[in-house]
Amino acid sequence: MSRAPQFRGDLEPRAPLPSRREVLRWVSAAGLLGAASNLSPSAFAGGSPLGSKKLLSIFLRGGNDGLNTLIPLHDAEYFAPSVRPTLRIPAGQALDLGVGGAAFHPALGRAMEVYQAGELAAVARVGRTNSSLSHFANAHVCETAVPQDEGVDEGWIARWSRIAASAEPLAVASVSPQIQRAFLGPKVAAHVPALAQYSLSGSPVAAKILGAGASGLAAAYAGAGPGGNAGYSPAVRATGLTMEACFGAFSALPNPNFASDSFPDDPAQCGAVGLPAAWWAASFLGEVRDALRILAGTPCSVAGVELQGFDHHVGQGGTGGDHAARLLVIGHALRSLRREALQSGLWGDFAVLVTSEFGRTSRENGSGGTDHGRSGVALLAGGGVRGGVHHCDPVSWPSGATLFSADGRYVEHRTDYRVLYAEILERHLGLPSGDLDLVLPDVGSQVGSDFQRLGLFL
Amino acid sequence: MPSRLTAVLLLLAVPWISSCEDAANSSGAQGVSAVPTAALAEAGHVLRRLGFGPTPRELEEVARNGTAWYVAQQLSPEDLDESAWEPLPLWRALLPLPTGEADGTTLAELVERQYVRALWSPRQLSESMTLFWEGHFNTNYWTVFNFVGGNEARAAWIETRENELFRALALGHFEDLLRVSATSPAMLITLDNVLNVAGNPNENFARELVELFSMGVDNGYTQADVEELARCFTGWGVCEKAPADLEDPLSACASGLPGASLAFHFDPARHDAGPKTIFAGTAWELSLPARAGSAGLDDGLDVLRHLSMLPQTAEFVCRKLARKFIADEPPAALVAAARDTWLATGGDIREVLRLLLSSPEFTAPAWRWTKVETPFESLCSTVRALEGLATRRIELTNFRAVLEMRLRQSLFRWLTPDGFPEQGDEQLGTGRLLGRIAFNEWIHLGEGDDLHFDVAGLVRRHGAQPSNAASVVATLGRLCYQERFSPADAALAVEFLTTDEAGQPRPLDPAAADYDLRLKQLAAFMASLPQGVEQ
Repeated sequence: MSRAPQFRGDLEPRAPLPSRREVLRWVSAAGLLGAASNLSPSAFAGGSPLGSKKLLSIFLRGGNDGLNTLIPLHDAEYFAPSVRPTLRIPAGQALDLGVGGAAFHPALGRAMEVYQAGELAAVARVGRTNSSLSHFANAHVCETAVPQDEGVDEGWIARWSRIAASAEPLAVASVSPQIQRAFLGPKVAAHVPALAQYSLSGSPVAAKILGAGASGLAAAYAGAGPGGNAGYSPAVRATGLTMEACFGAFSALPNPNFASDSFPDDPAQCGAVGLPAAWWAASFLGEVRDALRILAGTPCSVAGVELQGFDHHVGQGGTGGDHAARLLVIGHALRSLRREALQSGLWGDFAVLVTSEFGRTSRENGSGGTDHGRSGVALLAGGGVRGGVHHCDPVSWPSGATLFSADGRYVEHRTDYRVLYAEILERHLGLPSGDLDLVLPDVGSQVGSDFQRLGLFL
Repeated sequence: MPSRLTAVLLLLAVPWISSCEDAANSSGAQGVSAVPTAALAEAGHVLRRLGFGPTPRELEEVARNGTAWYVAQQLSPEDLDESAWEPLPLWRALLPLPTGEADGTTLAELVERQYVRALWSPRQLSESMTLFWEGHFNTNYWTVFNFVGGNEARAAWIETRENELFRALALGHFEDLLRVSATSPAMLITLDNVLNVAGNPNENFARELVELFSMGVDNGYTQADVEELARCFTGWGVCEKAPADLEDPLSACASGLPGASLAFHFDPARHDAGPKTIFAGTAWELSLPARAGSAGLDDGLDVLRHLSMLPQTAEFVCRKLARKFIADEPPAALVAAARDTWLATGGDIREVLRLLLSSPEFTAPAWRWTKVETPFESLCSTVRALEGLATRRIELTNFRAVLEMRLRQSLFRWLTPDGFPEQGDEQLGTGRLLGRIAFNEWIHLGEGDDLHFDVAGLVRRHGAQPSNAASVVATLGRLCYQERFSPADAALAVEFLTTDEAGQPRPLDPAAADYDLRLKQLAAFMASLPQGVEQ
């Protein structure tokens, strides 16, 4: 918790000039090509280990419907037939969280094991002011933690890695087919589409190609050899150096002893444990498993996975259907993560954040779905998390006055999404308060009620 | 609907008959070794940016005839003879092009046709732009597949037809491209317009139409405009139609008719016939009168025409094009000039590209090697530089497996409507670099059922002394990376070539049984060098 901040990035501005925002913009404008040149290979040579805390980020891409994830049991308007004629979850089937208002979608039943242990916090009405209705603009803002008009492209997790973990090449890992924006930045993150494919042929030629020291690709990435290789783009070199570090660490990972039903990774196995027998479910759980292996077995502190398909304009379904299927898989993942991390003694240091770029319209559309909206729901689980429900009670969610509180179509936000990031950075990853502004510019100075801390960690 | 598209499709559907005469180049015995470095460097850059990377033959041709000659040639793809290209047996195996779902085409055929064309077609710019439009107007094959109940022949035909129309119009007018996309069953299904009905509009397509396909995000429209736009496209859907009726959205549906294919259909009964005003109160306001019956179709068509000529659209798409061909952050003045050309020519993409590709910025040395290739581009450029060849479909199996499973670029199957990222920093990643090496390993691991590489023959034809490691390396370096192959790279490559796996020296003997294999291993190493993902 009180880890000394000795891993400051090269770009960290200690002097009042330039301003932090200007530096972020500069980092972004220079992009990988410019700023990465500050990552000399020697930066990877040593450095102190990171703390023992681990974070897994699960991003629900497409805009998860918050209203049907965390149901406002106390708000009769939600149950009015005209609002969600086919989508609403009957009160009797929702999983009452016992706080006088909120209930989970019944498909989140497997997450109840985590909630009942007091280790799952559900936060309703998470969003921001000036929220866009575009997936891409909003996801960009969520993943950079900087308003889009600031022109910053560096992800917030990449920024944390650059500032707080500059000496550790494996500090953060995007375990997903495409690198998530939150992990993109001048300090290169590990990118793992699948651990099983983090390998080469095994032929001696493969080892020779990768090389070591002054030979092969290792030398090329390091800029060694006669005359150096200053001609390569610094971004490619930095990525190559991280790749070599990843290859070494990931190919030495011990075999996991996970329970067979924790992370079924083909459709038939998913079906056998009551999950949708679908490739998307199997791939996602495979990525969750790989992320856990990396977090447990390497110096990596933050890993990120994502589940696509939450853009339910059509055929969303209520207690059944596609949205329910996806929530079922998320609930399963939370339960498995807790069980396996408990088993390996990691859970006390572990946190899982579940977010999405926005929520959806409160009213059902004409296609049995919902359209892009504003605020949504975030979940946070972990051994050090203070379980509970935020902003889904009669006081913070006034009955009959909330569903259409934004533009007459959406639920207005009460908590800025960056509050969750701030609590994770300070209370979980141990970022000194004085450095918060480096990772989340301006958050520390915000005085609005939507920036009030929630106290998500014990 | 534009019947000229049908004509172009039919033209494309004619199998390219070829005598496959000796296509050997007419260059001297020294090949690229005789080409001055400055000319070679520019040729390599032009071929990398404009298409899928230089082949040895094209390097020589472009270096000899100049960039302007090549750009002019590529801007008239219809004049380029595709009949003489090398992997003809493979191409024949992928013909004829389907003319309807009754022809039973498959996703694999669609994907492999696109591979073959990018890898070996002389119409490089046309293929590059075809994929640009595929990305700009992204649709997802699996969404279509699920919508049609798992009928592969139907889903593959829909995507194939859209792909062929993008190819036919790759350098055409933007309005035509926008209409092809909006009326393609693939788009109607992917963005839910099939469910967009009067009284209960679905705004999914309307939003992406302005955000991604024309104006750019939050660039002159409001949520109210999105809702109004959605009304314009009510009644647009799909149904099965007889072959002769595919082009006519007002023709009768023919459900269950043998030989029928799924096609665009306009249903007046589902259309919101009331008057509409979009962008109300702005300089680009569009008012549409009440339109009953089949005239309602014009609402959407008028919107597409209007959007095509908006300065916002011109600027947004021109910036994307400049980003592709010039730099991730293209010069603002060049984007503005391209936008002006667009507005002056009615959105003529050929003229916009002529301006971009004739600009000093396109060939300026400062802009070279500043972008990162997409995974597909990076595999193609390796195969092309080393004259890799496939003659049977099975030989593309590893190409496809690495591209899809490791590099995660599955053509025609990108889930979100924004298309596969073109921006450099989103292309790089440790997993991507490792996947590239895994692909390059197939150059030396491959057997009969993989792409064929004759590296030893290649370097010999281009002037290398076969027993001289430095000469072999230098020749391969010029073929792969031109001026961006440094003495330091050469030193690493020579060390690689002249030592064994234990690091012990071993001489290079052209008569030895393993000579060809060692050169393939060298090629695998060189293709894995850092600049192998740059362009």
